[in-house]
Amino acid sequence: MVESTWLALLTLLGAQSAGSEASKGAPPAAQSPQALADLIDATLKKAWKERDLDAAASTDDATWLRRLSLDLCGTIPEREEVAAFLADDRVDRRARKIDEYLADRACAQNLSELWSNALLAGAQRGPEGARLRPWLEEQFAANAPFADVTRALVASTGRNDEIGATSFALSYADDIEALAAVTARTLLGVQIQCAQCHDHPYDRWKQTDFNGFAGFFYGIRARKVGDSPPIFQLSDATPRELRRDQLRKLVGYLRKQRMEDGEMGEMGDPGEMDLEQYLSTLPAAARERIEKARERQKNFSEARFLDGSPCRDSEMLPRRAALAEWIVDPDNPYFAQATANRLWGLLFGKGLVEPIDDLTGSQDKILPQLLATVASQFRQSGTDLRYLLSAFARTRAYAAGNSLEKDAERRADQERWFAAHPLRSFTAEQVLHSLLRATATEGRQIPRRRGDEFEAARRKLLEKFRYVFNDDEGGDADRFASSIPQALFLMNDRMTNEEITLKRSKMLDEILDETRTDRERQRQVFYATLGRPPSQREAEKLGRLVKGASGGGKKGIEDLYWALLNSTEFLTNH
Amino acid sequence: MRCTTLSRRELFSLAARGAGAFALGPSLLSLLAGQSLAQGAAKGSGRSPTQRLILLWLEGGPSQMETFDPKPGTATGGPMKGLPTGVNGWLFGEGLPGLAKRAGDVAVIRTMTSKEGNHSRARLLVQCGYVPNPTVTFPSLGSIVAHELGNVQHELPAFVQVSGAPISAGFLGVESAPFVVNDPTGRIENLSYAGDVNSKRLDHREAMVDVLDDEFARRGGDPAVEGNRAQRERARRLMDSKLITAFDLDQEKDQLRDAYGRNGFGQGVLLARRLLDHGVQAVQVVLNGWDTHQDNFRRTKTLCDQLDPAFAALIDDLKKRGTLRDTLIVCMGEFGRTPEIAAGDGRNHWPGNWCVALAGGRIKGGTVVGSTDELGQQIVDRPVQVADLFATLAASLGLERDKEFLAGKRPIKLVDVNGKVVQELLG
Repeated sequence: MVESTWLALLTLLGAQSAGSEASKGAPPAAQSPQALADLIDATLKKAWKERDLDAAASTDDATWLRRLSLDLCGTIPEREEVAAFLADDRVDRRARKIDEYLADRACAQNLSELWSNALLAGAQRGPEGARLRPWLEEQFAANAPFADVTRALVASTGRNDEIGATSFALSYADDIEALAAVTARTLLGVQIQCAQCHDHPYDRWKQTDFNGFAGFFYGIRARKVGDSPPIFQLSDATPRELRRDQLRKLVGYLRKQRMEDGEMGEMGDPGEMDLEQYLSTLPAAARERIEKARERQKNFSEARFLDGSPCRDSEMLPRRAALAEWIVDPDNPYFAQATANRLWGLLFGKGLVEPIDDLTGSQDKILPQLLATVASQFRQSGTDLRYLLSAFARTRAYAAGNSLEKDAERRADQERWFAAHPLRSFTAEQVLHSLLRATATEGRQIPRRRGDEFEAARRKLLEKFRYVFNDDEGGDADRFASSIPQALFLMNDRMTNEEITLKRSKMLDEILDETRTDRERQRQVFYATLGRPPSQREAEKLGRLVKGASGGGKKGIEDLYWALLNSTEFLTNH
Repeated sequence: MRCTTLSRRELFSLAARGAGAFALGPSLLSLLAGQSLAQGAAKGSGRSPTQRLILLWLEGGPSQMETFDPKPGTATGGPMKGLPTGVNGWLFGEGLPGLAKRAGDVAVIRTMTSKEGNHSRARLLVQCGYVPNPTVTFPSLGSIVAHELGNVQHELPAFVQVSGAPISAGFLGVESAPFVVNDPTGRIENLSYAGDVNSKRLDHREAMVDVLDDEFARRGGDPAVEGNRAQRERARRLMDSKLITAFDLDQEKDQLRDAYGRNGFGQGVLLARRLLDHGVQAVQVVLNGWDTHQDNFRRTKTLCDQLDPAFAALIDDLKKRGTLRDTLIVCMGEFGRTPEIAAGDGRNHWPGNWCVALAGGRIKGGTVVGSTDELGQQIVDRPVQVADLFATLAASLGLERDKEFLAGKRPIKLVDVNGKVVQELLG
C-alpha cells in the first residue's frame, strides 16, 4: 500500500492512528483491559471538566448487572443470577461477571445478531442469508480474531452449508452495488452509497469511488445446489470469464436498445472472443457505440480501493480476496475504528462517531483521538472483540447512572459525552430474549438445541417482534417511546397473560415453592423481570394492591407479574 | 365490546391535559356519545371544512418515465407507450389508464427536484419536508395533519399508516405518531381482553404499572415513561372503542372492493377512505417495490396495475360521497429514476426531476406544473423544491405553516419557511 495515501486518509478521520508504528517491526502488546478502561475514563473525565458537565452518580449493582447482561448477552439476567450477584460481596464481582458473560454462548449469539443485522440490512431476507448468523455465532464463541472473520465474510467461496460466511455475499448476489455499499458501511464505517447515483457536493466520495469499490464484487456467482433446505454455492469468475461476461452484457444491452440497425452492420456472437478481438470484427459505427455504451454502463470493469489505487486482476488472487486483505491491513485506519466504534455503541448506546457507521461523513464526532487510541489497542490485541468489550465494560463511565437533569438539552449533553448513561429501548432481539426469560417460556417457544429448527423458530418469532417492537426511522429522540401495537401486545398477548398464570407459569410455580412470605414473593418476581428488589415505596403500595386483587393474593401475584412486564422499566435498558 | 364510558385512566389523561381543556370539549362529548369526531371537531374549531389527508407513498422511488412524465419513442423512453389524457397534449404512462381518464381531477408536478438520492435520507426529506438533520426529529406530513387538524384524543389514532416502516412524530409527540396496520384485510392483533381479564382487572393491573412507572420516572426514566403511558392509554382507548369497525373491510360492498383492486395496496386505500369516514385525520398507504434497478419496465407495470385502479377508485368514491373537496390525496415517492436505461433494463436513483400527483382538497384538477426536456434529463421550466411542495400542501390543507414548535430548545416552523406556494395548483 502506498503509505502517503494512508496518511491522507488518516488525516481525514481526524486523528493520527497510534497504530501506524505497528507497521515498523513487531507490534507491541495491547494494554490490559483495565488499563485501557482507566485511560478511557481519564480522557472522558477531562472532557467533562472542559465542558463543565456533571457526571451522573454510579449505578447500583442490580442496574449494572441488568445493563451488562442486556449489552453483552442480549437479554435480562436470570432471577437466581440476580439474587446471587446481589449477595456477592467480593470486591472484584463486577470484573468476574464481565469475564463470565464474555465467555457465555449468549454473548456470541448477541454479537452474531449485531453483525448479521448490519450485514444483511440491505438484503432481501431470503434463504441465502439464513446461515450467516449461526456461522457468526460459532466464530464469536471461539473468539476468532475479527480480522479473520472479516476476511471470511469478504472473500469466502463455497457452499453455504459448509462455509456459512458465504451467506453474506450470497444474500446480495443479485445486487452487487448493495453488497459493495453494505461492506463499506459495516466493515469500514464508510458510506459510499450516496455516491452511487450522483456526486454529492458535500461528500468526499465520488461516483468513481463507488464504481471502483463495487468492481470488487463484480465477479461473484451464485448457484443453487440443493433444495429443502436450499443450499447455495458462491464462486468468483476468473478475470478472463469476467471480460467475456462484460462483453456479452454489452452486446445484449445494445441489442435490447434496438441499436443494431443497418448503419451499425451485423453484430455477430462474440463466442470465445475477448473484447478487443470482437471489436475488430465490427464496423466503426458499432465500435463507437459499444465504447460509449461501455462507459455509460459503468460496468465495474475495474476495481479500485478507497484510497484510489487500482486492484490488479490476477488469476491467483480473486478481487474479493485482494479487498479482504486491504480491509484488514494493519495500516488501514477504517477497519479497526469502525469495529471499535460499533462495539462502543453497543455498550454506551451511542458511538464516539454518530451515525455509528459513518466515520468520514459524520457531523457528530467526539474525541477522535480516543477512538484512534482504542482502535489501535484493538489492533494490538489481534482484533480481539472480547478484549475491547472487556475494557469498555470495566470503565467507570459504563457504570454511570441515568441523567437526572430536567433540562432536555443538558441531559442530551451529558449523555453525548458519556457523563450519564442514556435510556435505551430494547432491540426486537432483546425484547424477544428478555420476554422468554422473564416468563420462563424459552423451551416452549424455541427449541433449546441449536440447529435448523432453532433458527427457523427464532426467525419466525423475531419477524413478529420486529413488527410489533419496530424501531422507527428518523432519529432517536423518542425511540424509547412505545407504539400502540407494542402496548396491545404487552397488555393482551398470550405470552404476557396465559403464560404467566399460576396454572401455567413455571416461574410462579418455583417462586411460590421457594418462598414463604408475600414480601419475599414480590421480591422474586421483581428479580425475574426488573432484576432489582422493589423500593420501600413500591413494596408498600404494590403489597396493598396485590392483597386487594379480586380473587385474592394469588391472583394479585399474577397481576403484579403482568404489571412488571408492562412497566416502562422492563423494556428499557437504563 | 364494552360500551364506551370513560375509564379512570381516560379521565386521568384528560385531566392531565388541563391546558387543552377548551379544545377537549367536543372530544369529551363525542367520546361519551361514542361517535365520530371528524364533523364535531370541524364545527367546534371553526375551520371550514377540516381537511383530511391520504398519502399514497410509493416506496423505493417510482420512475417518472413510466408514470407521470413519459417520453415514449425517445432514446430514454423505453418500450412503454404514453396514454393521452384528454387534458391537452398531456400523456400518462400506459400503466395508468384509469388516471388518464380522470386527468381532469388530477394535478401533476413534473419538475420536483432534490439533492437526496439515498433512500432513507430522501424518504425523510420528502415525507417530513425538511432536509434530514441528526439533531432534530422532524414529524412526517401525516403526523403534522394529525396534530394540527385532527384530534389526538379521539378513540381511533389520528394518523394511521398501512404497511411500511413508520417515521417518528418527533417533537409533536407520540400521540401524533402513525399507528401501523400491516395487513389491511387482517384483524388488528391483541385488540381484545386476554382470557380471564376483564376491564376491572385490567384497571387494577394498570394501577400497579402506575406505581412502577412513577418509581422509574423518579430514577431518571421520565422521558420514556411519558411516551409509554400515552401509548398505553391510546391502546386501551382502541380496545374499548366501538369505532373499531372502521378497520373492517367486510362492511364494504364486494363491487367497491374489486374496484379498488384485490391486493394489499388497493384494499389499503379503501381502508384509508373508511378510516377517514370514522374520524381518522390522515392515512398513509405504502406501495413498496419501486426501486427498479433492474427490470424496470415489467416491474413498474405490475406496480401501476395496483396503483392505478386504487387511485382512480378513490377519486370516484370520494366524489360520490361528496368528500373529495375536503380530502387531499398526495401520491409520491422519495425520488425519481434515471432517464438513462441501465444494464438489465433498470433505472437507477434520480433526484434531479421527478413527479408528484395530487387530487382532491383545494387542488385544481387538470393542472400540470413544469416541464422537462425531450429526453427527460433536465428541467426546462419551473423546478419545484420539496419545501415548495410542503408550502403548497400546507396551503391546501389550511395548516398554519409559520407555527413554531420547540425541538429541545430549538424553534422549528411547522413547514420550512423557504418554500413558496405553487399557486397554480390551488383552486
